[in-house]
Amino acid sequence: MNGRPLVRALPVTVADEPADRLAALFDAHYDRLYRLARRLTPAADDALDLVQDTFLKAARFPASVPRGLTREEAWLVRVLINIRRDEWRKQEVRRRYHRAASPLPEADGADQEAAFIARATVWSALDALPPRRRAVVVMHELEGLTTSAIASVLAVSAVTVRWHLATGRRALARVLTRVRPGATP
Amino acid sequence: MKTTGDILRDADPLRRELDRSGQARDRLRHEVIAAATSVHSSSSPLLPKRFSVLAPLVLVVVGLMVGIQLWPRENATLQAAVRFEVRLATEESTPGLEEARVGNSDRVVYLYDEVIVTNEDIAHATVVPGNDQSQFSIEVQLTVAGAQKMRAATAMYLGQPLAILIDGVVVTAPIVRAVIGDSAIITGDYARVDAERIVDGIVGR
Repeated sequence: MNGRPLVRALPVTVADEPADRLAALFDAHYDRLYRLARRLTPAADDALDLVQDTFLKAARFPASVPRGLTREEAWLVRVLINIRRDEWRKQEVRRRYHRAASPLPEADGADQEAAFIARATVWSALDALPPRRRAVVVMHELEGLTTSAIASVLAVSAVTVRWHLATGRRALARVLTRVRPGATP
Repeated sequence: MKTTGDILRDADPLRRELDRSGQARDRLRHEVIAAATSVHSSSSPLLPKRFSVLAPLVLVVVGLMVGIQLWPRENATLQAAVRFEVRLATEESTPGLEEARVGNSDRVVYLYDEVIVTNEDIAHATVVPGNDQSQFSIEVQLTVAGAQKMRAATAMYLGQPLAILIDGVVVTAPIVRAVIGDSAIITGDYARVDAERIVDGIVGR
């Protein structure tokens, strides 16, 4: 036998408590995730649910969350988008019916109510985009990220990001020109 | 002329909803951390079946296939009726180490002769529901000293197999993915009578 007295030689190591790790993840990334989630969902409550589901995923699979702020964030963002994508697919049939039955309201922006309707209409137009494409549009147009930065976060190529961006802008432009005739992609 | 970006920025709900986020954030934080604590302190089937994803205080041993032949060979010199050992092991063929087959599989591990925890380190054991109605698992709670030994050993043994032996037979040898603490759930397809037999015999007298 060449077994060594391993146990006696081993120092006691403080365990990395999962709840502590999750608290740290939450504190470091909540704001960024909420901003993204809010821009991927129709309402604030939907965004909170989405963020909660994302962190619960991290709670269930802590070992799959990589270490390091940048890698953690990228992992959480991808999980969030994937969760949103699952929701979006389930809602798609209902949404198609809704779109067919309820044409988008026309708004001239002449008064406050019309402006509100216009904003809501723009935002609901985003619902037509698949979540990953919507995320690309949001990250580029509202968060100011470059295509290469988005590619890095989403773990896809810059070519794919540019394709999502161009396709997303075209789809949005079709809706936006109905709301704001002066809009350009 | 407005661009798509201009129109999206104008419609961005975050421009008008910033004030309500603080309270919602605190509530969400509390719920998420509470959920993490409950996930990791229970034997919920939601738990992934590897050490890599377990709370430090929970050890789940998966896929235990123990035949009835494992425990009739009682040793009169033992204090407990069912001998329980956790030993460090390696999957690399190593001269001088005891070769052992894992359960009924073809997998072989090589056992170091130091025993990390044994019957004396078990505070108590209970039968818990398994994967379906006819299967039962065994939850083993270690004593404070046993948990300390387990934590110390697994902290230094990440990525290597830990062999669980019942009556000298390696019943499973999962890879250590995280520091293990004070309880073990030996999950498997025990019949209730067999699980109860192990539970009754496993605690050191």
